Amino acid sequence: MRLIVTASLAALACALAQPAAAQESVVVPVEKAPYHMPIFKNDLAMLLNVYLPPGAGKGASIYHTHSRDQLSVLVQATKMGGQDLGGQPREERVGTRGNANYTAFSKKPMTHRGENVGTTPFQNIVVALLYPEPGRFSPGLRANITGYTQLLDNERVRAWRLVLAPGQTAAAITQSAPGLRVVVDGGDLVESLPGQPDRGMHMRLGDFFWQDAGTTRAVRNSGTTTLNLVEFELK
Amino acid sequence: MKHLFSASLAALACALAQPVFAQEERGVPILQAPYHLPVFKNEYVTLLNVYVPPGRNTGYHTHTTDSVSVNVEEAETTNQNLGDAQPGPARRSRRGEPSFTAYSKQPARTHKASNVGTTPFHNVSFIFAYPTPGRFTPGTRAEGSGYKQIMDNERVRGWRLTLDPGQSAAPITQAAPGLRIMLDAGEIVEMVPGHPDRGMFMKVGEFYWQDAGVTRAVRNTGSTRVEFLEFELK
Repeated sequence: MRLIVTASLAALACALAQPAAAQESVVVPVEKAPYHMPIFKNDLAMLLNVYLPPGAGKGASIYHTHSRDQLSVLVQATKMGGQDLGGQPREERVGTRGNANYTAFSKKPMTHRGENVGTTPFQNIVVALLYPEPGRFSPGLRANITGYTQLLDNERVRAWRLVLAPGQTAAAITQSAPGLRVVVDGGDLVESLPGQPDRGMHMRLGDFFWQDAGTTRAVRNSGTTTLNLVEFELK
Repeated sequence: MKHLFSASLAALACALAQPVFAQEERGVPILQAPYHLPVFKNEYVTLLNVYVPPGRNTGYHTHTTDSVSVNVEEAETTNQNLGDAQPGPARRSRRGEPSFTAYSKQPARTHKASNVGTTPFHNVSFIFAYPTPGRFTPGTRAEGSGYKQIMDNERVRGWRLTLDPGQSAAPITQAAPGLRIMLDAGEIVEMVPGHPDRGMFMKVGEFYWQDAGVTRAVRNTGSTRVEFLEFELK
């Protein structure tokens, strides 16, 4: 009899606990997730600045879903943990700062959460594509242009890394499709456009700039530190 | 003959260079000015992140469109309008100082700003992309909400929110689209009815586009004072 009562109580406890557990795992779209800040959107893309200070997200019960194709650039790396919805905690790991990634989440959405288990901030610049199909633009080519290295070329985007030592210049390229520049290592640069005066700029870690199509520009590192920029053009 | 040839080459070089120099001297549109970086634009505004390191200047550039600007760091600058023989006296810009200028109602202003201090001149500005107001009606934020109104003109209404650690601001409804600009970094939680609380960490000089239609309360969950400005468009 005692066993039956104990078992019944345990079953009751489980039944009562179930809705609470279900409530605990809240799922929101990525643009509403904690520490994922939508900076702006236009008709093509939405930019999120994902910034988790140390300890952020630890033990949180809010998961978020990625359902749009997205690009990201990791501008500050640290040890991160996390968990897919319904899965086991992921192995903690440190990403590679400066890495650029593309994921076709429209074909396979993902719901997860992340937590900063390191001692320094985690920062990822994420661009979610708001138009469902590629084919609107044709990105340019930057082959054999000193300084540019192609990082990605898939159905939705082409991306390059531009690394310039102090005093070094990248010859003129033409931006053929709209896109974004993300600053991995900042500094001073000068852009030279035909028919316009040179334009000085100072860029800092994690800065980002929307870039319209149609511009031809050369870039010179006019500072004293190495510049590392990632640029995308959309398709 | 050699001298004549050299002189001709020099003259040719000057002639070729003239259009660019001339443009530099008469000023470029603000969206092309040095150290004025357009970060994004939508149908309502273009956002400029203006960051001039010590010792640099913006070159002559021209303002023609209504704009709001916010100094996010203190700096010492001089200003020289096109045609002035000398720059004006150095002026210390105050952190958190917002300003609105109806450039569309004035003659175009062409000037050059020089950072003559030891700190960066950092300013976040937004330039209106639609010519006349009347598209939106900003909300009101009652005295007791924690928000202090700092601006209310024909194009925009703005508020300052300062929260000490643990302090909250009562819910407000964002009635028109606009922007938030951070002055003091820190950690906050936003509370929106029907949604889980949302933690955020914000840094000095960051900015966020904010769509209309959201009701939110804000709590400072960090250990430092948080301060930001918010604007709603008209």
